[in-house]
Amino acid sequence: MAKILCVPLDPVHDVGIKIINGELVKHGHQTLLLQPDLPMETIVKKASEGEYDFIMVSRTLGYGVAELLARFTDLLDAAGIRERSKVVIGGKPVTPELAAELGYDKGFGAQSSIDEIIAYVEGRELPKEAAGLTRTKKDITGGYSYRFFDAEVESLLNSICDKLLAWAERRTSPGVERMKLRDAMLHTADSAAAAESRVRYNALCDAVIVDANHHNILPKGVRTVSNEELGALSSFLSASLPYQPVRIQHNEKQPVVFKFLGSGCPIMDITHGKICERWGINGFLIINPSWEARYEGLIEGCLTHENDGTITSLENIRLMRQSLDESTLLTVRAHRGLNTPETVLLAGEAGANLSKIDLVYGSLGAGTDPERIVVDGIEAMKLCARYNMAFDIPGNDELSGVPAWKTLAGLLINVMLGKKLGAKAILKPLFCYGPHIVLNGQMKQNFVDYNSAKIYALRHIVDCPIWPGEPIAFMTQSEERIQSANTTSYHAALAATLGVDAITIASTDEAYSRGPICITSRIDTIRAVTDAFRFMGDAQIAPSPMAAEYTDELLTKIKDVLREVAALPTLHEAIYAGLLGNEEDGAYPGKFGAGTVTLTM
Amino acid sequence: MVSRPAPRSGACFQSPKMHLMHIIGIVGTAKNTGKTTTLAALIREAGRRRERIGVTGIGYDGEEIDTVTGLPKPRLLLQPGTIVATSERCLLTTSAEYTVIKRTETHTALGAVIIVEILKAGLMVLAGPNTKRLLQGLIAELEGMNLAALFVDGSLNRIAATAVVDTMVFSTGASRTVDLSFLAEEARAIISVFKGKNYDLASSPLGIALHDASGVLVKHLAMRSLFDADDARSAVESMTVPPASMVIPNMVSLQALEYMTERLRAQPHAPMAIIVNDPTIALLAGEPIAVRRWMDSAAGHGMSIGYRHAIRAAAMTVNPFYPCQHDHAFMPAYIDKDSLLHAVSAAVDVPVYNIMDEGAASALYELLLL
Repeated sequence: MAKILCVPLDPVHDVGIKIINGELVKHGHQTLLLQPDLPMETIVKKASEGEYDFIMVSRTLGYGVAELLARFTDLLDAAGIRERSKVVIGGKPVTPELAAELGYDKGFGAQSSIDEIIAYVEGRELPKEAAGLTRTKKDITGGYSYRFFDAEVESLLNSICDKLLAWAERRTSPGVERMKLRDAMLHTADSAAAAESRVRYNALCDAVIVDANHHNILPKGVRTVSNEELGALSSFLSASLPYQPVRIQHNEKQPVVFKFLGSGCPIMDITHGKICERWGINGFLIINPSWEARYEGLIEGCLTHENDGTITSLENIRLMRQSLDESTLLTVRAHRGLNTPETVLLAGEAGANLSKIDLVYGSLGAGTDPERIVVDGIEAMKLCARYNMAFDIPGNDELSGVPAWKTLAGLLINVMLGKKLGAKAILKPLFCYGPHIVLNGQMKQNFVDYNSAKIYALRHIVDCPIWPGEPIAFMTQSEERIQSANTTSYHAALAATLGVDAITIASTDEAYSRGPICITSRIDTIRAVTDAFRFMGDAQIAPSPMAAEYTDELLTKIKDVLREVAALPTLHEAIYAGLLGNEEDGAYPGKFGAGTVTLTM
Repeated sequence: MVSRPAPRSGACFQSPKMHLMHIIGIVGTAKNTGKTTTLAALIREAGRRRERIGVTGIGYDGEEIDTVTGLPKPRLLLQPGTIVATSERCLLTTSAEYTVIKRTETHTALGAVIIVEILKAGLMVLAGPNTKRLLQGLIAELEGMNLAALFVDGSLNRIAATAVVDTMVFSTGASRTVDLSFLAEEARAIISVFKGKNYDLASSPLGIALHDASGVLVKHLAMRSLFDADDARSAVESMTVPPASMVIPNMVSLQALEYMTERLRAQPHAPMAIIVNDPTIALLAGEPIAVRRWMDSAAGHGMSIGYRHAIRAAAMTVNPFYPCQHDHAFMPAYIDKDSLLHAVSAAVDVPVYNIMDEGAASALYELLLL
């Protein structure tokens, strides 16, 4: 049992020290809680009379207060009290550095827990969070059976996917062939064989890629990350441990939280990533540049450029993977463009945890020819199975104006296809104010019912992880940071109450940054979501009866869409026909890579 | 008092000219008064003169950004050969290369205090022992390391931990107040307090000790400090006659001192010395100006203050910078540096420097070490 003097060294506030005093007493310690606003000499006299083990001081901080707190430690030293008593300071802004500056033996701040304080008093070691993140990597797909509950939906999906796989079995594309050549180059020790694969690889690339990889003529704005920059990053990483890392989740059931990375510069991405890790982010999605999606082939090397999206290369992904904490999940976007299989290969080789594939959105929202994307996407799913990487299916075609039921039908096709190819999918319904919803009024009364209905409908159909995105609250945010953080937190609270597995959140300046996203805006939404999770705990948000009506409507219309798709010979023909989103919806089948699918021998 | 071994000659450095390790504290009247800038200048001087020194701090200093105001702070660039005692967490972020000499038993809020020798110049934050007993222990650890001096960086307005130094430099400036006349008066008061008589007493009493004019112990009180007027009344009422000296082992407050002068003023008595450990105890009794006023008033009634361990107040430095609050942020601001220097110089009889002035660092270094 320790003997502790609790001192509110403050004219008014003593709430914090009262709480701590109560906890100390509960733990069997002998305390004396002084009243606020006592003269400092009186407090020191009390401290000298009691032979205390600890003198715990709480105080709010402002300019000039530091000198006052410093004088207090001086008086304790002068009175000989520090010979036997440890002097501790607590307060919202207190850090170990500030405690040291003020002359205290220990400081507890806003992130300190009661457990830490009790452990310190009792001389026990708590796991030192300041020495690094102590969390474990979350398996988002763990515990899911991928069983379809609706027999008709399962039957329709089997039909759609079996026909597609049969059609694709004897077809290939430049993207698939490049992936195979890259795979060979990465795994052969035979330099002659590697060189031959290289020649064949180049033959399948656009000239701009060959120029970059072999003539060092990089696209405008792209450059190699310098050794000096890599050295500085290494120093930063070796010198910086997550200082008082925090958890976003208030309980284990609440979803893991992802953010985007894709500033164009892997060094900046990593720097932001490390800071976000400290604030509790569980994972990141690497966003690639839009120009990269248009070219056949990928540029190699550790590369940076002054544009949105970080270049997909083995070196860039590996650098990010190695720099982020092992517990942090890393997703590499592969659904967009002409390099889907090779991107998944590189992600797997670099140790990424997840990839992103969607045969429907990859065409309708990301511009790749449907025939090409289905061939490439099937191969990418096989690679996910090989590397034991789950893949998420972004339902962002809804952002183009596609109705939710068409998007959800597309997601389910991807789930079944992944299941047949041995890869675990994660459903990613849009969790925001999509254009079709704006036009048709499903969120006129509230944002709760329709977002909930999408989750209910998917849960009704399949036992599969759900990761709403992307990001949540999109289209409800404004240029005001507080408003954006608020609306993100409300959507996060709803997602948590619906029991989803993960969410993606934007920064508060995501849509308005006019350049790279700033780190403070990233922290805005993380903190807002952390508070939302704390606020909700295990409580529930109750949707109105409209949610059930919307769920029924979605289930009916999803089946209608699947019936129409199943009636056509292949999935890509259904996409061309607009069954999963048409021109009236605002969705157009992509044209990149059109005519490049060929029959294999 | 710390024993001073004869220094050994160093391989890379000139032998110290003195055969004692000077222990020099740099303390301030407030935050941002220029302690770190002064220390940084003295470290540069030591490097220029190729003299081997040690540095430590009683708080947390040398960081890039002020922990309270958020404004940039002066950094400490340490030269090869310098011995540093700082907390282990500060070593995580240093840009200097160093070798660990010893991990001490002393702990701060930032971990164990570790003694290192700088191998390659770099920036480092200082967070060393935070009490006088712990600093005394560090000084003992550094004995025999052939150091010309140990510089002890203060923190904010803290002074108690530096009670074991032998020389002090006081930093004051606009961060304390922009009122020049107050700064000058406070500077005068601080230097005056250090001029108390030195009493070479054999040992520290367990409680307050009262002696007669022959130095004979006439009374021993259980109290070790006089915190307030009640304590002072108890002490006075225990006296049959006012003693020639009252030795107070720990602290005394201005309230207690004022009570005693008030009670003894009307009573005829021989000169009486109130003896505390060192001048830091007198400065901690109250605001320096009020303490000096008490000293002046007490002298009129035959009372004085003295010290068992005298400390030389060697110089003052002045800093025109202050953090000016705008809305919820601090912005850097300055008062006229020449007016500040002249005002403080006119008030004290020790040298006063604006350490940023050409030649000031060299002059201060010579004053302290030569």
